[in-house]
Amino acid sequence: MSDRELVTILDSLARRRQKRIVTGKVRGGKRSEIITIGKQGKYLKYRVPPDPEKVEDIALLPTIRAAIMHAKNGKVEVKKKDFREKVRRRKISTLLCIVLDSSSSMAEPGKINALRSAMDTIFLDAYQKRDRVALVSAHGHTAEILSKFTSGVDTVKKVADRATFGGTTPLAIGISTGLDLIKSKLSTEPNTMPIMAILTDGRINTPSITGGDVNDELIRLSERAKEMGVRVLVVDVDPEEHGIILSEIFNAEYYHAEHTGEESTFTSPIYEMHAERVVGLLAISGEKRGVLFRNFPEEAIDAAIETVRGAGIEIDSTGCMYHCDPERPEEFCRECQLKSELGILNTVREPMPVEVVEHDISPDELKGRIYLRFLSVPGVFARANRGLLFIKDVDLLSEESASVIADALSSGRNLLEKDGHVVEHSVRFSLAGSIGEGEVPGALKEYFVSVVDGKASSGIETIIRESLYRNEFTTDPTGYLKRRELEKRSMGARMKKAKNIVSSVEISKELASLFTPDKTEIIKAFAAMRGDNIVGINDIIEASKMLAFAVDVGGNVNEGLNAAIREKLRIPLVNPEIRILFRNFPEEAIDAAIETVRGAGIEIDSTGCMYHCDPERPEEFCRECQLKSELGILNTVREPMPVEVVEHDISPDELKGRIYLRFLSVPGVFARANRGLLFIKDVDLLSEESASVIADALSSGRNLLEKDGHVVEHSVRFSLAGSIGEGEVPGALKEYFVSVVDAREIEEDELILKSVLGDKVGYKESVRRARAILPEVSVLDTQLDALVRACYDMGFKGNDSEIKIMEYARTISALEKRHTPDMDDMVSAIAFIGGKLAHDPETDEGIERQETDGVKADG
Amino acid sequence: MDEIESILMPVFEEREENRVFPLTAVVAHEEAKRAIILSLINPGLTLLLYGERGLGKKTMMISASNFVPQIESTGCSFNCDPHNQMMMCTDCQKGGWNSKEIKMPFTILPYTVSREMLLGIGDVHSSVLGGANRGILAIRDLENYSDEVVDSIFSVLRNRKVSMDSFSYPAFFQTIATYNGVPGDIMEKFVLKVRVEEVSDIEERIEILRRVEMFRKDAKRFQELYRKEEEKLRQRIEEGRSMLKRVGIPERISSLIKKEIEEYGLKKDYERRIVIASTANAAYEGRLAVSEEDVRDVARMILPLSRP
Repeated sequence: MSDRELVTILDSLARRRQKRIVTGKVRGGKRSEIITIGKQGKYLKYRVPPDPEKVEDIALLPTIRAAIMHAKNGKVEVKKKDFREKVRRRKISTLLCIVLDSSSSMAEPGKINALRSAMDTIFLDAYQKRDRVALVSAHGHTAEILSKFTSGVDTVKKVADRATFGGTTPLAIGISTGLDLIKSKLSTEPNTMPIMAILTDGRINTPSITGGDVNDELIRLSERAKEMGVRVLVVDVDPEEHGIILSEIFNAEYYHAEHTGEESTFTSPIYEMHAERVVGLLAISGEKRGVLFRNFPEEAIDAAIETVRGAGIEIDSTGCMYHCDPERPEEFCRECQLKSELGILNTVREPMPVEVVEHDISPDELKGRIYLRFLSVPGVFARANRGLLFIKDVDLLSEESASVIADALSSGRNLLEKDGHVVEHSVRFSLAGSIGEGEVPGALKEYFVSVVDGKASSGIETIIRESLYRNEFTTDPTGYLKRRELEKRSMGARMKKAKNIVSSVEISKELASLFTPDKTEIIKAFAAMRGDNIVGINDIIEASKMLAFAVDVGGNVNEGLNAAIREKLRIPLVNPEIRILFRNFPEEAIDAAIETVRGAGIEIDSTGCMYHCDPERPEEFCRECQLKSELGILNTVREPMPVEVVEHDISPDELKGRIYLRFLSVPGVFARANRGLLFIKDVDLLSEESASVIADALSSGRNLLEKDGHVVEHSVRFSLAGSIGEGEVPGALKEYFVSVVDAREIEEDELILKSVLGDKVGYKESVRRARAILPEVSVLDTQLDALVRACYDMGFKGNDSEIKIMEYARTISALEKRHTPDMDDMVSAIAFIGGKLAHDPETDEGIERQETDGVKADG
Repeated sequence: MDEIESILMPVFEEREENRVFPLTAVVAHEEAKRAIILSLINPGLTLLLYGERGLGKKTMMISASNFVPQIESTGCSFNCDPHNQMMMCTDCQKGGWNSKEIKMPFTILPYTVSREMLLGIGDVHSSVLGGANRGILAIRDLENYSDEVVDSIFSVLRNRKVSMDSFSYPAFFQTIATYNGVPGDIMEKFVLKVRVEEVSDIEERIEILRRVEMFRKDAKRFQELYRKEEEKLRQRIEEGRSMLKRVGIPERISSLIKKEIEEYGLKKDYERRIVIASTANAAYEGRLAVSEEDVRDVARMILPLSRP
């Protein structure tokens, strides 16, 4: 229906009341009708030719009739002045210039669908009517001619289908480019009736000249189009019909392209991913221990189980119905015992069993049954043996079933007996379950080592993560689903591999002492999932977060604070653009952390001068190095990275250094800290002067000393961090600090973990490596897109929070040896930086107040 | 002194060129960009960009340095104009200089500047304001400067000259400043005031981030991408500058401005401000006569937020 409508509009644009007889060059087609002279078209009437010498298409009868009028003696003589020529009605092609808004706002599934279907209609119609089509695409800061006027509509369509979307909307440039194209064509074919079709969502935001006004420009363009006789069609793909404004300006025909096609709806993958990991870990670790899920949507659990089941995790088995373990002959079932005695026992690889049961399962179903004294039917225990058993709604399980399970787990055997006939097999499976508001039946309590609560993990990070996923989905639904599918598959592959190596995973005594052996075993599975056979620090931290493991031993909180500072200090050390502050940390912890950083042995390449000039940056050499370099006597030495700590009462002179006696220059803190770390204590108490001196050095990257015409200058490039009390950062320095780490926001458990784990080993190496990787770490366009949308969803103020978040994400990604930040990096970057320092409530309120008090002056 | 300069200057120039974000690549903020352009066309249009932190005010201000023209100078530390005897320093007035082409100075005011450094008390040749003569003085975060410094700048700007003991030098420069938050009385010292607001359009925010990331990855390539547009804008500004003197203001419009200003009870200076700004606007638009549109375009940048 609507397709018809669009075609009708196109036809009506080409139809114009025209009495004038067209004589110039025209191109045949099937679009608009003209009245013309020539051999093509339908004979309409005749006329007296303006020049009888040039008649090509003689209207025979009227010519004879004219000749008859002056017949003499019954003799008709046709003279040139009698010539009449045919006037014909003829259909010709038209020029159709399509201006495509390919900005990023168009890249939403609904809009794209509407756009594609409208374009298909237009191209098909243009092909049928033999129009010539041109295509202009406008996005970012400019317009691009994707195709000049051509009758090869097919080719243009292919180009259009390949068009990519992104950037702002400089539609005025697009329209003006389109008009230029038409103009050049009109000079040779003045009689064609050009049409411009603008396909847009009407959200136009970029003027063609810097500092211009979009609406003014559009009005001017509409005048130009009118002068040129170009008729305009606006195809609006915006659900709120935003394009109607544009069509008003251009006095255009308006067509609203409805969003068609079913839109797949987004479901948050967070719970599913979480459950997937946890169930996977249990499946890998095996052995009679379990985890419960509370507040997880059922579909998420089901999908997670499906992923684990589909992972293709395998076990070695004897191939009997109980999946006996060939490595444990003492646990063999009767059949395997006999076979083993006879020496005919085989070992086979088979899929690890994953059994799911509902809460109303009966003891018999669990244990299995013996019929007719000898026919035994295996139960859930038999089927789940050596695999995973998932119980839904554990709190609703009957007491009997619960004790049956508990008995089986505690004895490790399942015993069936009927009239003296006995069947017995081992029971070794890991356990998982979901739980509602109720309690775990008493008998089973000890088998669940923790409860993972979906609600507890719906903190800020979950919201961010969800927002990032939703936005990825919004911009590219098919791509998103494909990515998810890939993710699941790779997760499955990792599980399968992990199962094979989990038994060889080792853990240091120190780490093992943190948790009970049950939890430790699951943490080992975590390392195996990474493909590593040594449990690392991150495994412990992440596993304990993911599985809600509480630390089972006490620890030194202060040492934890120290470790937290060290860990965060790596960020500015790797990327000096990220400057951070520490609040509420005890001074001893700060001192100790800095001492550790100093002792970590991080080195830099330097020229060996007192400013530690960088041999790689000759343009920043100090005077001495410049001279040496010119003389070719510059050396490169490796020296310890400087670490300078200053108190808040430091003076500008101490920072900058001094020149004595016109030539003796004494280096200041800037010189000493150059290319290293500068830590300022109590930044809030810093004097305004000193703060300005630091801000100057940071922004110019130079330190300049001058006395009586004697000048000393050197580059200033250092990582900056500081501690802060209750006060504010001095004004000049405000924007240089990116975020604050608050000791009070770190949980005690995390601190205990950090205190035991430490990170001294590898500190130097990780910083060095991350520094090297950082320049190559870049963020994908889709990630940028999702990031901005997430910040928008979270209501972060200021346009630089996104920039800072991106820098931060790049830095932690470099520390993790990744060249592109992953979802976790993005999430922690947003959580750490989002809206923290970018927003200044004081000035903001100030602005609001002023505006309401004052008289608004409008020119 | 000369020797040191010759060593340092190339270093500085290269650094600056490397890091300037093209003004034409700044997303949105059209009014602020227009104001910067107008102030480049007519140096009398002092400009203040204010608003929340982190919206790109400073970036835009520094971007203006891409558009400074070549000027003829006597080559002294005050960039004296060889064609204007009146506006020469004491040394140049004595003659003995050779005219040479220099890039118009673009001075970023250090946060740590003192009144002494501004005026060159102690060493007149290192005067910051003298060095900025005939150029642009960019003041970042105006709120961080002491009243003493700010007052000195504006008093020099009024006198266009600094006299010390037996020496005097010219100091007339275009001033562009940024301010975090809402400035108080200081706002009205500037002819053009533009409040820079947060960009809330998602499409534009994404584009901002995309361009910043591209710029970070390869500043040179990014600048190359915008070279054509920067060149176009440079030309327009250049044309605007040379056209400025020929732009006239029709009687009807000048009396309209006069009437409005009187009706609002504003100081007469605002009339002058609107006239010079709308003239610059017309020059930028390539028109020889000021139109009502020009007045409308600039008035909102000029008229005070509240009645004085």
